[in-house]
Amino acid sequence: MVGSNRIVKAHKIVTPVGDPHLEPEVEKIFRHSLIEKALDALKEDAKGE
Amino acid sequence: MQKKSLRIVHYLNQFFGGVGGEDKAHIEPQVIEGAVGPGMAVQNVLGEQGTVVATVICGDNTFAEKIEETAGEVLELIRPFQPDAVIAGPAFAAGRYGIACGAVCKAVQEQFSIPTATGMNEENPGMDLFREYTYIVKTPKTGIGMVDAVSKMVSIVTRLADGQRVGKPSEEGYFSRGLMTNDLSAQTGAERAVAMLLDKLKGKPFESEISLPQYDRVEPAPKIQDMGSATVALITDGGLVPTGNPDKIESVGATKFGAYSIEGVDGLHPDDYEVYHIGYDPIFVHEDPNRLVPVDVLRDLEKEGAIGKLHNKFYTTAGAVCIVENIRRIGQAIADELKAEGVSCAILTST
Repeated sequence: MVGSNRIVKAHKIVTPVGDPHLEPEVEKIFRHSLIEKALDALKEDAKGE
Repeated sequence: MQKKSLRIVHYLNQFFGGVGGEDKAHIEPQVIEGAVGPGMAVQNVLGEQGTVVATVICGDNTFAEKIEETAGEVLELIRPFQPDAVIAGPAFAAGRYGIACGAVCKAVQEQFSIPTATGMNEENPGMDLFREYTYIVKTPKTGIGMVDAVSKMVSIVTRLADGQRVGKPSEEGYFSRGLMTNDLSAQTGAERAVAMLLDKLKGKPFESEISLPQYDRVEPAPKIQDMGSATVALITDGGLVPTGNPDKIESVGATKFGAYSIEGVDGLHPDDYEVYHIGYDPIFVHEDPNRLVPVDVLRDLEKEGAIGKLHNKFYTTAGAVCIVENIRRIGQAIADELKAEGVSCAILTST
């Protein structure tokens, strides 16, 4: 399994940075949390896992 | 029984064709009877086996600017000579020439079903693009390898024209075409595998029967020091395109990407976009495209100052059953554009 901090696990194939089961406002917060992880990865050196 | 004397047509660029240098790189395809320049070496190697009946010469820029069209024109110049085989170049390390040689060989192979061969250095971009469609003999970067390359090219096409098989890439000195052929062996697969393993354990050289895929090692970009002043771009391989797919990006085996403006857009609207990608059910992304390309969140972060700027375009292609060479080219093109436009980093959302 390929791993790196610069590869952030998305939610699902059909909805990478979303979740249709959540209410829209909550879904946006969820999307925000995934993007924050991505930005954090960009602020760190790349690391293999 | 005397073998038929083979008719060979030779393709050359403006330089090897003796027309001129870069100043003549725009000349249209033209044909001259007989051998020209390196064609003499081809004729020497051919000897009694055949004759270089014609030489087609074309400018490297002419070809590079419209590959398909020029290949078609070259075919029409070759056609009246009814050759048994076509040889192109060798092009050595010259990129535009290599692409022209590869394109000519591919077109001849497909349209006339006659054997073709050319010669290139391994770094020539024409090599990876056309290796499957013709026989590309390995050459050094410069013309010192001319005679050796010509000998190999002629040897390959003359045998093929005679209905003989050509040996393995490593034996004959051409770039692997990615083909597997069936062969008989006195040893079973189990015996050959164990012999190979024993050689490997002893540190002896061994040759794998199947070549393993080569993966690039890519140096990761250094971390962003100040995200608050960084420009962030969004990229996706989920095939999100403006409604109607104006640039006709393929939903499978994509050969191109799109770059679409999100200037002044706070979030992607479902009416404006759709998914062209055979590999997943687009239902949730169609309801809300931000679930794939998170413009809404990035715009908020831009307004808050968490990032300096959201780049004014997002980049998209469909990452479904792509040919590695094509997707690598797409990635490089997107990267080049991001760098040219001062983008600091990118988030690629993948399905």
